[in-house]
Amino acid sequence: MSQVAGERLLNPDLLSRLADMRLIARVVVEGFLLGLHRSPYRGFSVEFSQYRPYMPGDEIRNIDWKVYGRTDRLFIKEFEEETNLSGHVLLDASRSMRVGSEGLSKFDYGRYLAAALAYLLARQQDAVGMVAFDREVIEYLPARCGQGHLESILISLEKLQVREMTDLGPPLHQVAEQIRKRGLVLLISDLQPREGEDWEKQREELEQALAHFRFNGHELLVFHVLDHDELKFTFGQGVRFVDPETGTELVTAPERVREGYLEQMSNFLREMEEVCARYDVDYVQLDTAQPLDYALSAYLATRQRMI
Amino acid sequence: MPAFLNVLFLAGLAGAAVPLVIHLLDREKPARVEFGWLRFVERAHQSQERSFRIRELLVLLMRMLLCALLALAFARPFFFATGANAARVQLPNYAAVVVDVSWSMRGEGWWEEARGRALEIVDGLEPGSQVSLVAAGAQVRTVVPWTEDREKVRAAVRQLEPTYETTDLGGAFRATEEMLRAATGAAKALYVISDHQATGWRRLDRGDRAGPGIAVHLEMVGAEERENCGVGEMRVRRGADLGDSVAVGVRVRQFGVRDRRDVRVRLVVEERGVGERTVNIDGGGVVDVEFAVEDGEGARAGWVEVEEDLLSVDDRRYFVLPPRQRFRVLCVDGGRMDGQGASYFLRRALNPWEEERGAVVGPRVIGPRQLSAAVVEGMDAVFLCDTGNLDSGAIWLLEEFVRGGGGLVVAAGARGRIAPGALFSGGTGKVRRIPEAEGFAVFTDLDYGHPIFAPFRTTRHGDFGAVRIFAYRELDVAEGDRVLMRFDDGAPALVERPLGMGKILICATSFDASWTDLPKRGLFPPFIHQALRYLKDALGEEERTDFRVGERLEPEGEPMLEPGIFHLPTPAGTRPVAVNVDGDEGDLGAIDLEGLGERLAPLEAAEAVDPMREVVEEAREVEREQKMWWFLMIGVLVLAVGEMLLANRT
Repeated sequence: MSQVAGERLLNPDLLSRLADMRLIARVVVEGFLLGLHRSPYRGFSVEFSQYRPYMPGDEIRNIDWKVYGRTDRLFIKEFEEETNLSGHVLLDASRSMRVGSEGLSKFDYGRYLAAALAYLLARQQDAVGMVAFDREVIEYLPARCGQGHLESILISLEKLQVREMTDLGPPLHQVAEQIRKRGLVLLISDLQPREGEDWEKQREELEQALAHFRFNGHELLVFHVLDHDELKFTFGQGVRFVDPETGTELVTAPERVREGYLEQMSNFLREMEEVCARYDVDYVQLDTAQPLDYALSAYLATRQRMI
Repeated sequence: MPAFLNVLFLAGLAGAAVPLVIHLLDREKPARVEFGWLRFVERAHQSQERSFRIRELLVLLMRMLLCALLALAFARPFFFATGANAARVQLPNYAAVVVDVSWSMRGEGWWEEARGRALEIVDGLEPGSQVSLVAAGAQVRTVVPWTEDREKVRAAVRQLEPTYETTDLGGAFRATEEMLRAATGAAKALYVISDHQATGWRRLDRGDRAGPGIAVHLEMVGAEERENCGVGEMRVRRGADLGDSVAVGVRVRQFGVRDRRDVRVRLVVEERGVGERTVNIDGGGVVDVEFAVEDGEGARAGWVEVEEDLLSVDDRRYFVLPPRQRFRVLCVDGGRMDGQGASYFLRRALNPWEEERGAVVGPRVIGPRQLSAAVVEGMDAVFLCDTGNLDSGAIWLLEEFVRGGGGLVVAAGARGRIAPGALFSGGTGKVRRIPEAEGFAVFTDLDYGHPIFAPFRTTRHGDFGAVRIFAYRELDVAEGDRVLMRFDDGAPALVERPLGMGKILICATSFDASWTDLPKRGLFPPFIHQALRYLKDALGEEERTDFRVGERLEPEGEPMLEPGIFHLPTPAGTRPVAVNVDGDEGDLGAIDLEGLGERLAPLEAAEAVDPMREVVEEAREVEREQKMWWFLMIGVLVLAVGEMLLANRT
């Protein structure tokens, strides 16, 4: 399948070759916007931006009748969005995010996505903040407007490294408490439970964290980032699996356990989706092999709902 | 304990390790992969790994077993316990003792020697040995089946007595060898105690030989010098003169190498010596002696004997003389009654002596007009010689005579044809005279299967083809008639017609010399006598009087066990029969024991004679004993299929 120019630019594999996070963010967002050029969802606000020819599907109310009277042609008025929306990008920087096949880890993918989202928020004149966490909050930049703040976020993302084990509950509760103003919360994580601990308990903690955000009036969008191999389990014969967080090792023949693994993974993903649905949280499952535009489209859909 | 035919293939057992080695070498170093969802992998691993491990182990074992079975199958295993090489030390010994019980063992002291030898053998066996006692006569009898009880065998030996049967040591050897072959023993021995006369072994087949592991011991009993003179085959027949004497022919045989001089051969009839001859017999030769015994009214028994020698059993041979045959015959002559009529030659053929001698009483000659019931009564046969047509009364009379069992012979002639009637359904037809240009007719197509012509089968006993016929009457052959002889133009010459209990013979030509030279020929009298005996059912009717030991005198009776004169009950009283031994048993010439021993010895002992044959036979024997490789190959096949199915699931 051929890719349009924007999609090609959003390819994570290509992005991984770009060192500068600012460049990555711009490439991703501009490329994405290029792909959305004809999208009916883009840019309706109070601040005029430009005219464009009417296209079937545009709302009649957006037609500029004065221009029609002058030119006898139909034009749609587009406006720059002017909101006081604040968005926070929450990036999971635990060690489980270090996993990645073909050179691109979940963490890298998450960083690119976080950068792109921040860039997009800033481009839309929204206040943008960034939180990085593992078992605790390791980086917190509150939501602000302005190009300088975006620069800080991108630099921070660039410097960010994975360190500790996962523990979703405490840092998310902490962030929920810190973000006072209601807004958009974008959680980028693999949602991976801690190895060796009861999953039921961890799921309850996650649910409580999500409920906490919702209780504080935030719109929540969960980007569930998973490596392609985690989703498809396409390993060959004889693999020594090493847990990135605990260092636990297990040698097995993947073809023997594939069926059982995929069944459990499928159950887990369905469970996550149900948890999110229960708290009216948008849930987007991302494969690191997927282009980032899918994630950005999901963000825009959520944002649109908030306006 | 198993053994192997191809031991080298056992090296292939090392091949069982090949799947294991491949399994170990094939275990590639697993790639190290960081993976976050180890809990899912671990759960799947735990739930399936055990069954996978078991299955993998099973497949590995199956592969190893498959290789091992293949190597074993090629090594061709067999178990000693099923073969000739059984673990003999744990098995009992088997000994079969065959004792010759034929009458040749009745030489003075021979039987006692044989019995003693048998007891010695039984006593010499190891404790726990299985013994069987077999009596070898004309039939093989297992006197004592396999037993450890040696006292029982000893008692049986003591009770064993020689018979009057012949020996079949070949049959006894085969039967006993089979017994031993079927037995599973540490050591097997076959003892044959006999005089080992060559005739006793004549039924030994070429392939007869002791099986592997069977030792054959040939025990010779009897004197070394075995000169024996005996009375052999006998023939009792009536004299060639058609008269009242019986010829008793006997063959005296000298078994041995020495000549016998002045051997007295004595004929005894009804316990009265009636003749004696002195003969000289060369070593290994025979002399035929014939005595003439006067015919008598009843059956008489007797014997021919020579002087007693080494074996007395064959020094005497019994016989029974058949009773005299007398026929009353009536000749009806259609010609002159001056003695030169149509029955002239017939009368001389019936009784050449013209006095009361021979088989025929009379005959009485009458003319056709004299034929009456009183004349016919008591007659055995009536001959009509050129009588022409008879009146109806005579025809009725003759018909009744034949229906009552009488015999009638009709000879055609120039006097006239016999009209068709109840008696002669077809009658006789017109005369056919042979033209001078053709010369004469001859008889052809004689029915030699018929009792009348059976003795004339060979030309030496009379050639009917040489008889010349110048004229004959045509005969109409009716249904049920049997043509016994034809003329060369195909016309019937002699026809037999059954009527009631009797028979009629119709000859198309005459019994005088006017139409044929048959009456002048030497075969005419025996032909007439044969016809006469046939009409009275006297041919082949004589009851059998000569029997062999072992035969039954009556269908329901017991086999005769000894020779002698015996009397069988008959409606009229009793009749004597003679029972004799088989004279060939008197030939005591011994077989070459050494050669026989080599021939009968099992193959391993005959190695020096034919080593290749032994190798081949042994290979065959082993081949027979180790069919196990088939089962191993089936196991290999099953394992291969199982491995394929299981491995594909893994």
